[in-house]
Amino acid sequence: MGILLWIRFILGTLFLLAGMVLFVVEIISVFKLDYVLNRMHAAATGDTSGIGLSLIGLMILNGFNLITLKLLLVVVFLWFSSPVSSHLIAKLEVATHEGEDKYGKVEK
Amino acid sequence: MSSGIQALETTYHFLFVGVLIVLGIMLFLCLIRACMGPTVADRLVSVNMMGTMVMTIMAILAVMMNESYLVDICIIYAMISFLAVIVLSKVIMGVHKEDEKMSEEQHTKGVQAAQTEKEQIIEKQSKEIQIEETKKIEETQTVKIELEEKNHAEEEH
Repeated sequence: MGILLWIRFILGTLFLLAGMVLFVVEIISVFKLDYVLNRMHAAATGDTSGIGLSLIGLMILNGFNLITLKLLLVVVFLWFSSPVSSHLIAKLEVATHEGEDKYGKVEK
Repeated sequence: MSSGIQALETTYHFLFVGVLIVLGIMLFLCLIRACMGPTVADRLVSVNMMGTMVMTIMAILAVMMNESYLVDICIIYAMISFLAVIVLSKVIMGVHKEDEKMSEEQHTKGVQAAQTEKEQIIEKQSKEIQIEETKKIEETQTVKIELEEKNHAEEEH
């Protein structure tokens, strides 16, 4: 029984730390890249997969529970909403053309 | 056996506290990025990232304190941040389109005013040229008349 609990702990910790690593990579790339669309790509990838991995890790750590079902609901909602919001931000950037002079023209 | 479970609980506690500290530092870095960002889209991206990290913090707290209502707050936070991004991007796009329309109208008005000024100047110039031509014609006519009068006078002599 104790060994099973430890195995669950290690599996959940792996998922949670993978999510944390994705968040750290996202922060580093957001500071390092120099154009808005590149930064948005990194941020959208990190958001979607990072929160997915860390919430799956939390679900494994928590066991089968009401909290786990709600966390699953959050994951499903974020997998739908995060790419949509990133797409809208990209459309906003393309429509306003604020970086046109320095980085070349953005095709509509 | 009970000591093993206690060790597991302490490791859970340290794992959650460490992850929460890292997430807090990254939240602060996101805030710095939102202040630095040169464009509007940049700030929106970093605000979206901040929302994601706050959601992760809420989920970790819910698992750590074993409270199920914190996950409800997390769901509502996700919905509201999604709505905020949509509304902000739509509003900024609408403001930008209105600005473009206003600038285009001003541009066309300026072009029309410049065209009318040019036409007026051309009309004035053409009128002046006509007046000068008529003056020249009158002068030549008067010179001719004088010459003819002189010739008449010489013939009479």
